[in-house]
Amino acid sequence: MVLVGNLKDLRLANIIQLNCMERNVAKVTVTSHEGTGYLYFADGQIVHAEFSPYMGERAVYEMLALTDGQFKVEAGIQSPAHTIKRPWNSVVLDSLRELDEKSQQSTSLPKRIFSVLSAQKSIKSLQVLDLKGKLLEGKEHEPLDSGVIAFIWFKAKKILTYFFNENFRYIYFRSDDSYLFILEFRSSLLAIKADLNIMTEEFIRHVLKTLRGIE
Amino acid sequence: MIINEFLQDLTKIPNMQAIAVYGVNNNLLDSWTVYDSHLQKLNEISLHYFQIFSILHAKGKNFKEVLISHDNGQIYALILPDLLFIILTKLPTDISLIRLIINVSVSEILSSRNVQKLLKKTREKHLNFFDKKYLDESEKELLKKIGI
Repeated sequence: MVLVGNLKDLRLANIIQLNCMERNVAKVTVTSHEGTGYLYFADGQIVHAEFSPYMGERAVYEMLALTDGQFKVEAGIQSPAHTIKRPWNSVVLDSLRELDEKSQQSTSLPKRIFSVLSAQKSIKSLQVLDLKGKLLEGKEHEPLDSGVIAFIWFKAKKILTYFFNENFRYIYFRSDDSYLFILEFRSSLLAIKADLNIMTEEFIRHVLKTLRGIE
Repeated sequence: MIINEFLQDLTKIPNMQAIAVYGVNNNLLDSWTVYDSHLQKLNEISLHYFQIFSILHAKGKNFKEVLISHDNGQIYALILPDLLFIILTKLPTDISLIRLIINVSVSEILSSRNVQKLLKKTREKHLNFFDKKYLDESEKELLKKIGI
């Protein structure tokens, strides 16, 4: 028997619970934009999980973090390995708790970054985005479209990694009246518009020092 | 020819590694490098700079300079209506000095007969920097989100 659906309609935690309570021997395949993962069930437990590059409990954790993707449940498929020894409910509950804590931290950090840096005199405007270009704090088009920031950051990283084998520090643009800096901090992208009268290297050092103080 | 005639001072700046000048169709007009391998790298990255400046122009942003800083140096680029300069330097380098030298020489460069001849040839061809053949899958996806 094969059951297919979307994680938006049925959460992975519920799929796990169902298979464990029913003591199914089954394989669950999850396909999302972050990759494909597999869960194997037997004797009322999760016995094995893979979600590249993770295996075991970490793979379960990463898969539980997915909010969108297709799932497929196939009954009667035996696990090729036994990487999970703890009871299924401990694995799932610990993962969900950790994800909840991570979510709380990740929502508060961009707010703090925005609040602290916005108060700096030389900063005219500021955006905080995730690494995919989703705006977390600030206005959508000020100083720049969030999608454009993500594209430029991706390009800069590509230039440095592919052609120079160097680590990205920051990028800045200069117009007739301002600088626009793009830098990475933790899992966020920052776009900062600053006055022309700043010294760029000193300014970045000051911003990074301020950011480290937020953590 | 452009560097030797108009931008000699750039080559004397401490930690200068490479200078390349491109026409608006990504054709190399002139270069100066400490190591030959630098020119190859510059020729590989110049298209990316045209893409960056094109996207900013499309969004109505008047940025003429971009600097990418890494652990061991900087890649500085300055765009003019007909030319793109890309400069590699080690740290530390005074970017304002580079900017000053280029800006002081720009009008002379653009009014030079030889440069005008080169630019005339360049203008005859029009490159689409966002042609799919120049983009990887991630870039295509990002551009789609921006609406380009």
